[in-house]
Amino acid sequence: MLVLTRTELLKLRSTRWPMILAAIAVVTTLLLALQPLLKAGHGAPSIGTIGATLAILDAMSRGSLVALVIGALLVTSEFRHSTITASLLQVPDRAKLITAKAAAAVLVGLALGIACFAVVLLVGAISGAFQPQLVNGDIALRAMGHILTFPVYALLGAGIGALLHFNQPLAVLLPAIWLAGLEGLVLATLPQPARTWSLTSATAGLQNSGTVPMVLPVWLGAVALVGYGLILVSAGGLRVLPADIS
Amino acid sequence: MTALVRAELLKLCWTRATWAFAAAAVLLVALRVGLILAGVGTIGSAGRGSVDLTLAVLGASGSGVLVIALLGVVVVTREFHSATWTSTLLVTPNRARVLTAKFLAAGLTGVIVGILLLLVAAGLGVVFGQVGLTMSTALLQMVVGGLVYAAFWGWFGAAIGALIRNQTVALLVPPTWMLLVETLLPAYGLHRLVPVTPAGISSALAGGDMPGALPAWAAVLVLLGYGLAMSVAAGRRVEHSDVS
Repeated sequence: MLVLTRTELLKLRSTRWPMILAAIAVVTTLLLALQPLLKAGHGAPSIGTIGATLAILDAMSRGSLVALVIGALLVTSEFRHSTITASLLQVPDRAKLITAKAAAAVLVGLALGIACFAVVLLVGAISGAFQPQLVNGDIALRAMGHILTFPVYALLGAGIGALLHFNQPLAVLLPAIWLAGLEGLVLATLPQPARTWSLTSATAGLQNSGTVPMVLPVWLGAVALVGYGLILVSAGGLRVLPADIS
Repeated sequence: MTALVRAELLKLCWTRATWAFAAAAVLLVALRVGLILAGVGTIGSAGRGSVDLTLAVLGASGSGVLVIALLGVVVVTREFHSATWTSTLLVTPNRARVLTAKFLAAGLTGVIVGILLLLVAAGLGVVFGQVGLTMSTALLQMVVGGLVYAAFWGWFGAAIGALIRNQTVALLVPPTWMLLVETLLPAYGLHRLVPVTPAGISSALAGGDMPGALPAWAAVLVLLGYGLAMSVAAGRRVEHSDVS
């Protein structure tokens, strides 16, 4: 399994699109982190307050969507470019291959999360928005939650990619739009307790966000998201197992 | 040219994705209308039977614009994705003509889907008995502006598809623009750009009272400018690309 995961990571390193997507995530995080600085004191929390610290940390939220896209592309690219045949000739056990891809997606997501955290840390430190004396348990949990959102979303992406392996554009577009706003619209008719378990709410729970009503505890948000990811990867694996490969 | 546009429309009719996109747009609009109607009677909402409610319900059809843009992208990129571009060019070797036909077909599809979405919104409003469809200048401007905007996004989506060609990447451009870039502009002090963004122009066309909004004729001219600039860039790219 270790060799397979390393092979998947090598595939990612030797193709252009993961690097481009990672660059997009880092630049987006940087731009979003600058936003509270530009508006500080003018409708946004002043520099040096906990509000500004949280606003800069929250700049990582959009980057996790890129991790999701990377996860989906990691699986669907093989089918899109018909390299899945060669991959399966090397590793006929399809379940192992999908598991290795999911593991590689999680590792890449984690690396991307750490990179984006480094960006917000740098912006916060240079601007003076991050004051060491302001850091407490809640803020540490928020930062940790933001970083962990990346690998969890990458896992979700890998699962959706396996589930919709026959249609790469759909596998990339659907979860990205769902999380970017469609979920809120679709689930708006459901009662609040049901919405608590949505992807957005579970993410808010993992990120220790107090701005969402009836938010899940951090651990439960993490368990829910990982559970969704594992269910999707398992369902995707079951779909890939009997698929015709020519 | 008419035959080419008809061929493109025929291709669209035969493709399952077209109907899936149309169904997604209808669902989105129905959901949005449902939410608006469910909010009637609450604080800050438009009153039952009022002109504001009619405008809000019909304005909900604008939620489908993203889907129209995606449909426009697919009109072009599916030729590359499904490797049918070669056979299309064997039948019509003039690439500029093929591309123009695709842009026209995408714009026309935008209008057709736009009309469908307006009908769905109006139908739901009337069926639930809370919307009166009395014709007024504001309503007329919203309907005409909405259809112009839908046609633009169909055309613009097709131009994006011709320029980027990779279907997955091209499909991500409209949502990234609409959901991220346009919403962030004011945060960076770029308020002056908002009236000339597609969202700002949409507001101007529909008669919204956004500060600095362009007059309707100027908004149409700006949209045409965007569409032509993108189409010329897409045409140059397609004209010189290798086809195997």
